[in-house]
Amino acid sequence: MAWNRHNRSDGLKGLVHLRAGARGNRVSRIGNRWIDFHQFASILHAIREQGFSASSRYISPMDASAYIPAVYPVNDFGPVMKGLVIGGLGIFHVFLAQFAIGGGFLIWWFEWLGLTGREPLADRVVSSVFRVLILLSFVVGALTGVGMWLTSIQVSPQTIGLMVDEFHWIWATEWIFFWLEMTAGYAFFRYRDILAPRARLALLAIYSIAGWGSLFWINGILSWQLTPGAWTETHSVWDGFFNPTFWPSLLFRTVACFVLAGLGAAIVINAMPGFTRDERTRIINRCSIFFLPMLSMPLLAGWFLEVIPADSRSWIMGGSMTMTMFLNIAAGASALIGGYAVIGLWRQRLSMNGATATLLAALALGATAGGEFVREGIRKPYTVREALFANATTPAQIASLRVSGVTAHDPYPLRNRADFPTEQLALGRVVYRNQCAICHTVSGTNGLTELMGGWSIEQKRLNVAKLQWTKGFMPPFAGTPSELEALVQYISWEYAERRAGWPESRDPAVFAQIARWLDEAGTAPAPRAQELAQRAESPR
Amino acid sequence: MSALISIVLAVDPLVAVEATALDPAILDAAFLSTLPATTGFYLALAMVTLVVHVLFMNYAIAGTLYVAAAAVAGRYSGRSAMGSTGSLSMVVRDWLPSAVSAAITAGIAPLLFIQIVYQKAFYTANLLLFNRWMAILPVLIIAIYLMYLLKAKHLVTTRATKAAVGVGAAALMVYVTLAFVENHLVSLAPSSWPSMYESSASMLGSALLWLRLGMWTAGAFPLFCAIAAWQLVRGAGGAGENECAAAARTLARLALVGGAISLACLVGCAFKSDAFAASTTSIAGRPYAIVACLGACVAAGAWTVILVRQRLPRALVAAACTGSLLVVAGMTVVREVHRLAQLSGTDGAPREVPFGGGFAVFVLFAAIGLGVIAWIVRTVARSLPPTAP
Repeated sequence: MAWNRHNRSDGLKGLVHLRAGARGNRVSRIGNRWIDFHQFASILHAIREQGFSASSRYISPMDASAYIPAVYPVNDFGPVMKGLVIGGLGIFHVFLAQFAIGGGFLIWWFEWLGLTGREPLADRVVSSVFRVLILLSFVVGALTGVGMWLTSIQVSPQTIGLMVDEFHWIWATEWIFFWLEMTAGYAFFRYRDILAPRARLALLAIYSIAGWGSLFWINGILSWQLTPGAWTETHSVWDGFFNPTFWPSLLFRTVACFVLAGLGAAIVINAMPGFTRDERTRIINRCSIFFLPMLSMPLLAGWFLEVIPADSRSWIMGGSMTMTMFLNIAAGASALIGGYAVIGLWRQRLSMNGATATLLAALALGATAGGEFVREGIRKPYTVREALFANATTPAQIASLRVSGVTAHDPYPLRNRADFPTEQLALGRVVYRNQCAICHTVSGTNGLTELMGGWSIEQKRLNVAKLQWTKGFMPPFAGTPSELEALVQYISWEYAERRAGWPESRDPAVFAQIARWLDEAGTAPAPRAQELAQRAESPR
Repeated sequence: MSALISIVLAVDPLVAVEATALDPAILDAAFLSTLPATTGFYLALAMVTLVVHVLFMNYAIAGTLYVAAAAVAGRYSGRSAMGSTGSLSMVVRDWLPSAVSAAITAGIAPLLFIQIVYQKAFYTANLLLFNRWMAILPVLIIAIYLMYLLKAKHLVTTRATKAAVGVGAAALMVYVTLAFVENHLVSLAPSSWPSMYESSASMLGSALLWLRLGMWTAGAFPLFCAIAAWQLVRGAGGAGENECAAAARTLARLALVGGAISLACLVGCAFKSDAFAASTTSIAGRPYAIVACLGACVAAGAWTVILVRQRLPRALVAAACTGSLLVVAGMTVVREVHRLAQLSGTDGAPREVPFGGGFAVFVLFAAIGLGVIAWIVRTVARSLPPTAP
């Protein structure tokens, strides 16, 4: 048979659409996914047992089509946390991409100044800055962009898969803008000397608008991850795209583009030979107009904070000291750049030599890193809010996996199986691989042995069983009591430096206690998050 | 002998894949007709955009190899036997970074549509190849900067440096090709995924991998030569009649030898892989294989005439170009028939994909984008100095 039912098993839209409403839980739609009776019964059982409460907006409208998660091989990054890899690459890429986008507008501005006779040195500035743009953004910028995509697959294929499934036409549209940016950029770069002035300005306008357009499209997808808005109800691509943080995020990033362009141009201009000190100061002062939009940053940041979910806001307002600190780093670095640029340059009280420009650019990199860290961090415990938890499972999948087990669907054997003396420890390693390895290592960065090793065995069981209660930005544990016990034993064994003769834990009373704790915690996210969300929804 | 064969079979993970029965329903029906409409649509888009990507990628791969060979042979500078400013290697060197950028940009779309249709297979292959696959990013970055370095006359001055930079860039581009070929082959082998994961095995021991690499790499030359010929005919690098004549000989030889090696590798693939042979000759694949054969005949005929006449008449260059494009298009479909038939009913089978929102906006911006790109090309073309008739 060419097209059998199994081929449909990864379909995005589901067969069973679960909706928790005022009347409680009910199966509201049978979609196009094929499951057998046993699987169907299991999920219904899980829903009943795990208590999808009518008050839980987090469990409500969830497409349960993928209640058995797609299982992929998991690679070990050694002592490096996967988040650091994608975060580091992301910060670098965002920094370069924003410089390139703002740089397009800056070059257009200088080209216009030159053509209208307002700035006799503009031609040299355009030529030098654009060469840097081509060499940086068309090579490293473009490939780190592709790198973000490929690294996302390495870190969480389920997350990037969901994003592609929902927004592939948005990405395809962004691709058109890439073509425009590249064509206009290379045409200007190669043929600038033979083109008419108006054609040069037009090419730079196309290049700039196309660059900003790519930001427009990707911003909708990235902001959707934090605030999917009405998409959770409608699954409409436009509801997801024009989500609550779309505009503040887009405007904030646009301002950042202008600032980075100004700083980048200042570095290049300082590195260019042949200018007198006065000429250099004059040209850099002309760039200072690109710093002025920074004045709107506090307003835009306030707008952003106002529309993000209440629990996310609570993390950066002191709920998570790390996130609060990173936010302050971003805000402090931005304030320093803004203060220097706006007061010093625009009002022409200070000059900016190469060292100062580089230092300010480094501060801008710090601000970008802080901002991106916060943006990623406040999504926790989700990678796509209300749709996909950080451990790449949907709320409906967690309910299902509490019954079927997270390891039951994993066809990939352990590497170095012989290193694990018991079946239970081997199972624990597989649970770690499926549930923890996205954000943690065993004993490296954010290592579990460091975080949990000192707890007593009972503490470990309780804290993992009620994981979302232990720490509000952790997802609920997705697995059976025996899998949880295996994970606890595995972490303890690793903490004990793989001590020989590690006994298996087979006490039925322990499993029963874990099951009770799992039931008590349920599959909804942290109670604090729900409480904040409900408070935000209630009439003021 | 049988022991030797069994050893070869044991180390070749693809042999196990070849034993998998192909889905006859896919082979015995018109291509795409067995798929749900949406899946077929996405797959068709993946193939169309892949052909565009291959157009630029062939120029980048074969061009880098040619420039490397020219540098090693001392034909790097403008004062080569091919004339002064119109030197073929200079024109190719000048356009290589742009061609790679275009290839990367063009490559985004087929990867996007492939991961919609074959999400499980594509992601799993990415994950199984891990470092070898992710290495394409730094490798490409270094390769492009080496290509820019090749253009910088004041930085790369000695023959040895030129040769080293050229060979380095070419080796890196071949690595990228190898990684893509291996990714594709891994994605075709769902039954081997768990064992490959457990043992961190690679497909480097597979003859099929090297045959396909040879097919892609050598097969890049005919299209590269056709595009380079167009560039010279259009006066790129100020090429005059003498330069074109000298280049005609070189390009014709490269295209014919490259095409012949590619064909030999293709035959090798068919001998090595029953599944590939069966897909090519199936009802689904046969019409497209015939298109590819016709294209190959047209291109080979055109290049043979060019070689004999040692000139680059526009009609013959157009024929060579059209023939090569037909080969790429036909073989793209044959490759897809093979993948569909092999993955059907497995864990890596294509998905029934719901049609995503935003298509109308894509079509609108695609139309606007094409219009703007056409305007850019026209504006630049009008600004260029007129070429000799």
